[in-house]
Amino acid sequence: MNAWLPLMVLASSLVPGMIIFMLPEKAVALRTTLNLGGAVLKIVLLVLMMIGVFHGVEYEFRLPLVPGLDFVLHADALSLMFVNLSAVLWLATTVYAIGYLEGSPHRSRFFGYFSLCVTATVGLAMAGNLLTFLVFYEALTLTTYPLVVHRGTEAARKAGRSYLAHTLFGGVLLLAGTVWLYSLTGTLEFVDRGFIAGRGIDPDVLRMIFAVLILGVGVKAAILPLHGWLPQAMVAPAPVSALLHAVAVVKAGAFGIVRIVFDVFGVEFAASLGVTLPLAILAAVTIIYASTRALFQDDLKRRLAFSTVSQVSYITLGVAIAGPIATIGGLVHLVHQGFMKITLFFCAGNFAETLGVHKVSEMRGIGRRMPWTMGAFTLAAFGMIGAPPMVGFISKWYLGLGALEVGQDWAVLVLAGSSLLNAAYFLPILRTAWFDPPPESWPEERSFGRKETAWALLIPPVMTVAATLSWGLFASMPGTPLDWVQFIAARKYAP
Amino acid sequence: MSLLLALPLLPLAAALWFAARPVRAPSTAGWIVALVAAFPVMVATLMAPDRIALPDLLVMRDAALVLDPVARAALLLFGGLWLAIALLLTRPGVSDPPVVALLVALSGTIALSLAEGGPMVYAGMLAAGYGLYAVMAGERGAGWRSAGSAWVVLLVVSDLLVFEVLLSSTAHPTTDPYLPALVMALLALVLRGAIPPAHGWLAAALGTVSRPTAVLLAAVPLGAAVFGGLKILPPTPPTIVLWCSLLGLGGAAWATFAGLAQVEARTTLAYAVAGTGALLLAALPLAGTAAEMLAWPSLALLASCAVIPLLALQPAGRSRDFTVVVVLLVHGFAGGHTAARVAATLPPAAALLLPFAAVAATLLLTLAARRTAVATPEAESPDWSRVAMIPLVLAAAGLLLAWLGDPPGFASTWAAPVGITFGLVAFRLLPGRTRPEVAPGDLLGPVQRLVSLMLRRTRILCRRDLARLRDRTSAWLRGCWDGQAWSRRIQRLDVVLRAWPATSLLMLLVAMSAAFLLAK
Repeated sequence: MNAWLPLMVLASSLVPGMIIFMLPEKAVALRTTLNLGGAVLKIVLLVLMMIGVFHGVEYEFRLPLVPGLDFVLHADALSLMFVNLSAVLWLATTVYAIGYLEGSPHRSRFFGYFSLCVTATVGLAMAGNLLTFLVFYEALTLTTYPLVVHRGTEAARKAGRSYLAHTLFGGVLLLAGTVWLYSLTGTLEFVDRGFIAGRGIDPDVLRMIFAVLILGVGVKAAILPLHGWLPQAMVAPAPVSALLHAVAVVKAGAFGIVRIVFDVFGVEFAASLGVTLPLAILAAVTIIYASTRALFQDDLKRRLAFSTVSQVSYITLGVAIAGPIATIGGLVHLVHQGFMKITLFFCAGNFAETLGVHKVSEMRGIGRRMPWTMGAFTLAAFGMIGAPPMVGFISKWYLGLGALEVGQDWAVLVLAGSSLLNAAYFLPILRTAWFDPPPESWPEERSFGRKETAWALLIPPVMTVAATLSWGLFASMPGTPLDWVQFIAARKYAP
Repeated sequence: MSLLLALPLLPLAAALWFAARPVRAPSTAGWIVALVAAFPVMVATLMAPDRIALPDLLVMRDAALVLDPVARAALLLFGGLWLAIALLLTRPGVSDPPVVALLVALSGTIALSLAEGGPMVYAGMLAAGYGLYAVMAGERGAGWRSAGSAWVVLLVVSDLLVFEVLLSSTAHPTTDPYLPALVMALLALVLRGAIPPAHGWLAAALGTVSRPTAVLLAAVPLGAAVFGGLKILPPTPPTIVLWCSLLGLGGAAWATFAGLAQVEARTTLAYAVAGTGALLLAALPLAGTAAEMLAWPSLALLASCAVIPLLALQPAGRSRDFTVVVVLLVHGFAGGHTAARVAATLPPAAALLLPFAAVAATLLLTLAARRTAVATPEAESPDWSRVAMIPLVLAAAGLLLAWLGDPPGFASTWAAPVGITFGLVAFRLLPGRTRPEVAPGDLLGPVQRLVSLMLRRTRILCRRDLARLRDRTSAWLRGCWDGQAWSRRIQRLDVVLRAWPATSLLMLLVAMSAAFLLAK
């Protein structure tokens, strides 16, 4: 059972996805049942695994491919954190997508790829070695491309080409780094504290391998200057944007950085090679640059996209600072940012779908027309700024504390600057939405009776923002993401 | 559930209820807010000291809600002010600030009042600050916009400073005060509390907002900064007390100069609040050692300032005269009491000067009271004019409790009559102008212009220059891989070189140089 459970988690989205491909467009009820059933089943299986991992049970599925190289699915605390994030947000996004795409064409194709995309993410999260990681990393690229170009417009195709070019380039780099590493070490297994130290490999070679691997995953993590695909991909429907930013792609990149630093090189060994400081500086530059770019975007989703570029680099910064407290900040931000950003994208989708509002300049008085959606947006925006008691504060608190702990005080200034810029690009939206008079008519208003929008569109952002509020307010309670991440950090830094 | 826990949650629950049911009968909001606001006043008055630990809250595991004298003073101030404006909102025809924002701000101030542990105080300060900004932003008209924008920038910067201070104190716990963190904390409080030199926005805002919002602006930003400071500031070395006193004196002088040059009652009140803030800035460094002693005079000072906008509801008569006399005396005595308390820790020269900050603040408040128009009996019913009694009673109670804790002497009482007399004389002597000599809130004008210039430049850089650079670079990079283009370039170069007569001369020169070098 311990070997098959990871495979069952994978199958819980793979099998519904394959069936959905074969369903006709009219089979709405069956498609919805498969989607939601798979998502709920995955969460149930994950809860079982979390309880087991917490009590020291090992879950591993191993399939030998060639001598010395296995296909490995392994559930440890770190992978379960990411799998849980993806699974819970997949459920929320599925509910949202059902409402968002109601009546639109090619839904079977959309939901089929959607499930495959989550399968790839889950596989990537549970990968037990770099080879398995690479396989799912590429699978993720190929399964998200049809979602990016789902609308079939020229802009969508252009964005898709850009996405494919960027991510395949990243995949090639990751492949090169993996092969190079294997040729030197003869293993690719992820191990707590890394598998490279003490093998007598030339440090300069290791630094180059580190750079190649980080650039490979950095494309998906949208690290500067490899971030160009993300704002372009905003032409995709809102559920896909949510998927790219919060559930799968960007997070997969950030998760890859975590894996490479902790389980390939080992954080102490990486720090001794002197590669963590340049990575931290690169993350800091990305944070400030992307926040500055976000400041001047009128398109709401583009503004949120640049915000993602900035916020995901918090994770990289936390890992690269190379201290236990900063690691807690970085890892917990993986979860926190996912929930906050998905809320913001759900809300942006609601504005577009209900009123035809796509730009910040069109949002005057929108809070009075859609108070619940705008309320969720407001709380998530305050979370992004880092205001307590939202979860963003918890992440920034640990990042700042961790930076001070290891004497890298400059990182605190970066966090402060980023918060200032976040406030500068979110607060004007809130002011115009809540306090400016609404226009006489909206660009493309749809009526939902007395409700501000459809329930399927309203419930997901309200639920995700409620999670961000409660996890921020009761951050120190057992069972919160912070609690789980402290459990992970204790393992990664255990003597 | 403990009553202390229910206190900040009740306004949030009411806010949620209002958000869910936006359509309501006129004046309902006022009565509900009044009911919610009466709750903290009752708890502060009737409940025994209490403390509940909330280890699961936020990040430090040291969060708690505490009902101590500082919390009582803060609850009385904030609860009383919200009660007063809620009663105003029940009047027909009064402009209605956004009730959800009003309740969120109330919840923030209550959390701030009761909080123990830095992050929780920080959360309370944030909710109070942005909630009050939302109240201001809900005003009809656009007069508040410029001032509101300035304030929100100050709030954000202040929040970041508080965040840095809390991080620093957690990362480097030490018994000795860490000077940079202390300075940052004081700066943060100055920025969010409209304390000079960060007071410019208040004059511009107070002049344009409705009466309920004016009552809040007269006391809440400064109150949140002062009570927040009383909770987060550590014990301070005497040098900081001295520097804060000197800054407070400078701020009081500045506020006096600008306040005397005003015409309107509200803008004069803004400078009176700034003067009071300057005095409290001098007292804030004592927060680490004498927080409880400072809480009651702070209540008296702040509640006195909040009475002034309500004076406009009172028709001429004994009731109004009584209100004015009591409020000025309370403010003067409380200011003198605070100044005397701080002066006891200062070198003699500074100790001698500090009470003049109290004199200046009372002078300005007197001027604001005299400049406030008297209501006509037909326009205002006696019921509404009594609303001013709520902050007045709170101010008097604050002074009484301050005096009970630390009996007054001559040093703490002389400032009141002197300040009031100077205020009356100034009112009599100043010419009746139609325009103020110093525009309200002109302080931030140059700063705003500088910021907007920088923003404009950055926008141009981001929108145009960076994009151009990127396009040129990418075009050049693409060109590097274009074999045909290279071939064309080489051909062109070849043609140019052949066609250029100087090429032959150049080659000749090179050859001759080479021959010369070889020969040598």
